[in-house]
Amino acid sequence: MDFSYKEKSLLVSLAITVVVFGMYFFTIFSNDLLESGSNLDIWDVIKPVVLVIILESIIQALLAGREHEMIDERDLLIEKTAYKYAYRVLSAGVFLLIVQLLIAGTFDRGDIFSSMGTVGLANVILLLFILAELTSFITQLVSYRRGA
Amino acid sequence: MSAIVGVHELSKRIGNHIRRFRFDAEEMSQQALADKIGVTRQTIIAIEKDKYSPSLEVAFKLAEVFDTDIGSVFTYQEPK
Repeated sequence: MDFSYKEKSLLVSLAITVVVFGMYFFTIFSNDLLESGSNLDIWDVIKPVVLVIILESIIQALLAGREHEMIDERDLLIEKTAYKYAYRVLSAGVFLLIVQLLIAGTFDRGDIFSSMGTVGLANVILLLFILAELTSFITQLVSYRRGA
Repeated sequence: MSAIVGVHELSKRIGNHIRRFRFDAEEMSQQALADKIGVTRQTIIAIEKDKYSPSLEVAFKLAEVFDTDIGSVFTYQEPK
């Protein structure tokens, strides 16, 4: 398959995000590290974010060194559409989170986040951001593949 | 008909003769045309396939490259 520079760049970003945050969330959820009182601290959250930034910078620099292509109005339109979908995913996630917390607070029951500390809740919000980011990457890739 | 029209729906009504104009211009390559307009080759491909409707600026530049008017390069079909 013939991929443009933009598609390769998106595939790299998608792969890095899936691998780094996939491993991170798998470790967290499989070991119940979101429970309040676990050893998880703010640096455990910051580490994968920094790792993604470093990996992205290195690989994107290598990619740009080999081939460079300009960004035009169609790329910007595709990006804008992708952000629209990502925003919807993020909004829906945050909305559900707020509703869940409000219901739990009002009726004092059904709080699935009650066992989590603040770092646990921060991880749930981070997960929503990652899902929005993945939506953006996938939407852009689909648009480019369709030739839209 | 709804007042709001999707980009994809709109692009189906706007056709173009870019492929023919390129052929007439000594088989100008898509990359060469893209370089003249200042867009990527993928954008030229998308425009030729009627999958993307360019901005007015790009449409005018295309007409200018082929030394013709915008109406000769692009066609608009009124929805039935």
